[in-house]
Amino acid sequence: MLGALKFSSYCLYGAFVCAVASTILYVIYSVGLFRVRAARMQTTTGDTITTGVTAQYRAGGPTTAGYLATYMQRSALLFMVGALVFRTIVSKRGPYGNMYEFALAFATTICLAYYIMSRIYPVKALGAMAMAAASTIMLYGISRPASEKQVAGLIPALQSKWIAIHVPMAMLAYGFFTIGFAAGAMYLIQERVKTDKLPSLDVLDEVGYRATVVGFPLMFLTLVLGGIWASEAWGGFWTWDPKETSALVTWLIYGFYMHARVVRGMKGRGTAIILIVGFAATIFTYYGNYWFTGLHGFIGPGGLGGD
Amino acid sequence: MSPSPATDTTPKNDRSAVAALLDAVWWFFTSVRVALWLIGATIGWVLVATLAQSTFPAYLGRTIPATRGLMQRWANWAVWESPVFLLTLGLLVVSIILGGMVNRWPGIAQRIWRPGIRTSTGFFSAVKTSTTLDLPTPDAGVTTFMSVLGAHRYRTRSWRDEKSGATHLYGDKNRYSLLATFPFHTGLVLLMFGAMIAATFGWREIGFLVPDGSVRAVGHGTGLSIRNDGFVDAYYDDGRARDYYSDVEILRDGQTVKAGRLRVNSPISYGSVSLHQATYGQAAKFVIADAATGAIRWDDSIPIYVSDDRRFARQFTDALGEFEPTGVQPLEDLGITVRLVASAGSQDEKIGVGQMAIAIFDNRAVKVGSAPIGTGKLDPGGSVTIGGLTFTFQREVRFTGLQITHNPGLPIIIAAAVMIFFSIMVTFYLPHRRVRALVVPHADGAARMHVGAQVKLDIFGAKEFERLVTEIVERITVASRERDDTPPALDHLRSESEEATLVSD
Repeated sequence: MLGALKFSSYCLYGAFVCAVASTILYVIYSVGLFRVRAARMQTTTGDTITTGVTAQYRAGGPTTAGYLATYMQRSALLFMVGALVFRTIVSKRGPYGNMYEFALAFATTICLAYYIMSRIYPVKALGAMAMAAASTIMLYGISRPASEKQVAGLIPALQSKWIAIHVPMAMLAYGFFTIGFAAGAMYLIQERVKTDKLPSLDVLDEVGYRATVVGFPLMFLTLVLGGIWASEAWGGFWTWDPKETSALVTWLIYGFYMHARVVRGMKGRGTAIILIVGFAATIFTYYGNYWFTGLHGFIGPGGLGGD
Repeated sequence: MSPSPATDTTPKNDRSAVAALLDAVWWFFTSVRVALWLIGATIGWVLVATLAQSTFPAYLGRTIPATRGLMQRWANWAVWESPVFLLTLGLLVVSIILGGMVNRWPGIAQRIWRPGIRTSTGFFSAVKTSTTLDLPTPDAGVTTFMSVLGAHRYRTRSWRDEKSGATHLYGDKNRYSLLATFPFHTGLVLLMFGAMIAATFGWREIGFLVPDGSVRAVGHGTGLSIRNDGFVDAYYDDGRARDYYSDVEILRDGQTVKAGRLRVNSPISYGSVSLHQATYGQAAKFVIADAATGAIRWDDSIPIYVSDDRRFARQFTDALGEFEPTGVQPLEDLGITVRLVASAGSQDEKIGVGQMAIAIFDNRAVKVGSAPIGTGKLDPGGSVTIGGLTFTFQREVRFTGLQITHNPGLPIIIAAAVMIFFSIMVTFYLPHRRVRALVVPHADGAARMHVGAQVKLDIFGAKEFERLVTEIVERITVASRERDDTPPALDHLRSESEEATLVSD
């Protein structure tokens, strides 16, 4: 069992190396030239259908950095999955016992969310920011004290079937919000720099929207499932616990974004800024245990605290 | 029906002022911008309330001493009950109802049941997703469009402009998903309504402490009592709690109506009342007897915990400055209040391990800071006589701490949450898809067809549009080939389609 725990750690280190490497390679790729073929369809008369949003087309240019970046990113994802699997084998439960395990899950979902979005959009440059965020979370996990890296039993408050749904929903939402943040941040950069080495503003705007469309219902589910769990555990669906309140604020910020985007048709810099603010709220929620006492305090900096 | 000018006697200024006011109110509550401001304000208040519970105000007060008073007021501000927060919520609710539902109904109803079919060529230039096809005949385009979209479960409509000979085509799918906005916004209102019901008609006992073997009345007009038949706890090697549970009985009129084992995350319910295992701790078992006759006046346990009454607890700090655990038990029948202080541990120089300090207060005079009528420090089994009563400390026992709730709003809240979640999923993953086409005949009998769709907020709309147009083109091409026996268009289409997918390097 100790061997599996060691493997989990090794996988985390491996993922970190791959994530940092992919970040650097994505930056090199972005600074160089990149090629994306637009979706085209020719009709009988030779007219062109332009469907959805297309990345800019640029002929020629090296793609080695791009290939390697993709391999490193996929490798980071596989390593993170390995880290989770080995830890699950040892702990016989999912990764939701302390901040170290949360970091493993969060980094995995960032890698997963970027992988999914990169299959839909050819936005390698976005990988630089997404994998930088994943690297940071991995580094945070690596820096956690040894006591947290040991597998320990869950305290009674966490011994519930709801934890297996509530926490993964939250982590998935955070992962997609991270991609939204990356798109929003890159939008502001591109708006200023105006280079064809980065994805177009339209692409970035759409990636941010689509990432939020996935994360928004997941975040709502997190809130609802957390409330149902709280009503079962403590008799109150909503107790204005600081962490659950900050999660609500996060969801409201993305709700604000949805209204602005969908109902008002707002696009561009304003919505990009909202995505960045939303991500700040996400991080605030994630680390809230350090600043607030409350019902979530048992997952604070000391790891598995007592009741 | 408005009155005719001949019979209308209402002064024009008054009517238009009222109408203007109503218009302004309607605009206010149906404006998306106002709704965004209200959402933003709600976020702001929630943030203010959350930070108030943190160490942030104290930190600011220490860093900027001039703000200390303001920070203290902030920390003590009950934001959730404040008029400004309730007003913001109230305005938001009205905005949700009027702006999110009432105002949107006519437009949504029209799109569902009376969609506009006519389109201008400007539409096809404006949308990002559009194409233009040359057709052998107008009918080829019309029938192909209708059949291809119909096969993909689109509702199709057509309208022919007799003047120009153009045919306007319309196809849509998932039109009823437009109605999802109503359960979503209704759910939001229901959430707040459920919370209001819970706050108004529900109640929650947070620190309901029941020592081993003791019975405590629930109160709140329930007629119920809880007996603790025993508390068990287990620990990991590192000292953290592994498991703890209480065997409890729910009593009504002294009779057991329900019994069970209570664990965190495994509540016990009786009727509308739920018991939840929350905490546990030590208690002191005392017997109080009449000093003269020896008749037992009270025989029960007093829970010991770190008091949140800081002014009281400040009196009981040990040599290390740690607060010693305290217990308070008012005894109305005896006219006294018993206050206990237990040892803070082996380092406590004032109260030894296992000892219990006792202070008795007269209820007629008890207030913060008032002196006790007698004190003592007892070992287990020890006694002290104060005010005609003998207090015997028998031993330490455990207590179980419960949360007892009655939440009539919970079913409403859960139903609202389900409505909101499914509405979100329907809105974003079963979006209303519309495809428009305009077939313009040429003088030579051929025609040109413009096809377009608005897909900017539709995740997979662009891909579906591609598939539909591909199918339309293929069918028209096949039909042309059958007539002319020349399939160049299809070969040309095939060679281009090899580059038709997005490729990552």
